[in-house]
Amino acid sequence: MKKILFIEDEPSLQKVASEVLRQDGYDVKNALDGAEGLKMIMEEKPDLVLLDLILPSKSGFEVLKEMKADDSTKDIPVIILTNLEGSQDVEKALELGATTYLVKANYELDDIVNKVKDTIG
Amino acid sequence: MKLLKKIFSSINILAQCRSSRLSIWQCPTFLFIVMGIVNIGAMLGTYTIASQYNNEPEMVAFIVVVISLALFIIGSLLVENFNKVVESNRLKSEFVSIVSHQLRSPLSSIRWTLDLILSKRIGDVDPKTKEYLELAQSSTKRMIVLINDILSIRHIEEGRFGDNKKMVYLKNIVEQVFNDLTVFAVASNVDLTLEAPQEGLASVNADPKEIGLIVQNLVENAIKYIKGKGFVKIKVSRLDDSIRMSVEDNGAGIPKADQEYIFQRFFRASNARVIQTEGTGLGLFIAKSIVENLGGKMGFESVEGKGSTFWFTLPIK
Repeated sequence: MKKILFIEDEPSLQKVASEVLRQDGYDVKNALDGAEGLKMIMEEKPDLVLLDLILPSKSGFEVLKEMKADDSTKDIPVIILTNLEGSQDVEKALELGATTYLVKANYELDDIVNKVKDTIG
Repeated sequence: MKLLKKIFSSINILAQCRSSRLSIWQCPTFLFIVMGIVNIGAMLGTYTIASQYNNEPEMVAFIVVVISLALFIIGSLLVENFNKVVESNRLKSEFVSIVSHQLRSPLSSIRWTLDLILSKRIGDVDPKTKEYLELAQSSTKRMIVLINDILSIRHIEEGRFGDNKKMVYLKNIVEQVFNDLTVFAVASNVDLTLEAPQEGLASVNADPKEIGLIVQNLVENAIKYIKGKGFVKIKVSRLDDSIRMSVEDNGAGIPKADQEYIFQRFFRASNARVIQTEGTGLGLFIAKSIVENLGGKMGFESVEGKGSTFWFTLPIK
């Protein structure tokens, strides 16, 4: 079973997306802030990280930077799920090594699930 | 005559200060004029007084000091209030951005929750409940569009549009939109056609994503405001120094009285509000701003009850 770590500070959003991903056969773990998320990435070594950018403690950018700097986690694909949409933010996240950048409000739940499937099968 | 002009312009300045919600003594334009007048007065005054107190240099020096002090105080007020205006502008822009982004979080949550329920993944939904949930779903999407539009407008105001310009063929963009909207047109009982010459259409310098959104906005508008059966004709043609794209429909048209306001932000024609409850009144404002930013023009002809033709041009470089 593929393991997904969803780092998101909005619990309701996390609950909904996790429900659907679990139904589709993924093992979904949740983290509510950046520091906790990074710790879990190091410990759990998930197959995919869904990462919000505006997070308490460490921001999504910091999490991304630190996990990409660590040899044991640098190859884990990261889908950014955020409501930030400035072209600078997108560029910065992709430069730091994010696989895909999605603006939450602009996508249906199915679109998100499909992106996950496209990325890790 | 000069005095009249001065009074007139100062009246105008008062109106300007009022419209920016600043009190008179906080309004830079007004303070600037005051400073100018004080300056002139001070020079004349100093001259007059100095010529009277020819034998009392201390008195003259004193007057000069007092006047300089007054000028200094007004000057510093002026600078301070300029800074306030700049600061409030920055805060306003930041406020819009923060609020919009904060609003999108709970909205995404509502959207996804409705998606989840309607997908019947967590249980069956009876038809009546489904109908109402779909209403909520479409309102949520509309709210998201509205927030996105407000963010777009902020980008326009900050001059941040057109960051990704490249040489593109308008015809290709239009064809893409045409293909995307064919299903929607058929479902709406509208005959959607595209007319463009095979060759001779030069490329234009623009952001294809932005232009795509404008074209989509125009064609969707045309289809949405047709009641019953109708047609929408898209045309792309070459003018002397520009490429022209137009969308003609036989829909509701725009009432004469509403026509002059149609490109204003948040404006929606009286009949449009009745036919389509959706719509933010921002699409055309954004479209026109983008086209003009690229050196193009945008306009329309319309007769209420007969239909409208919206067009824009983009210059060939």
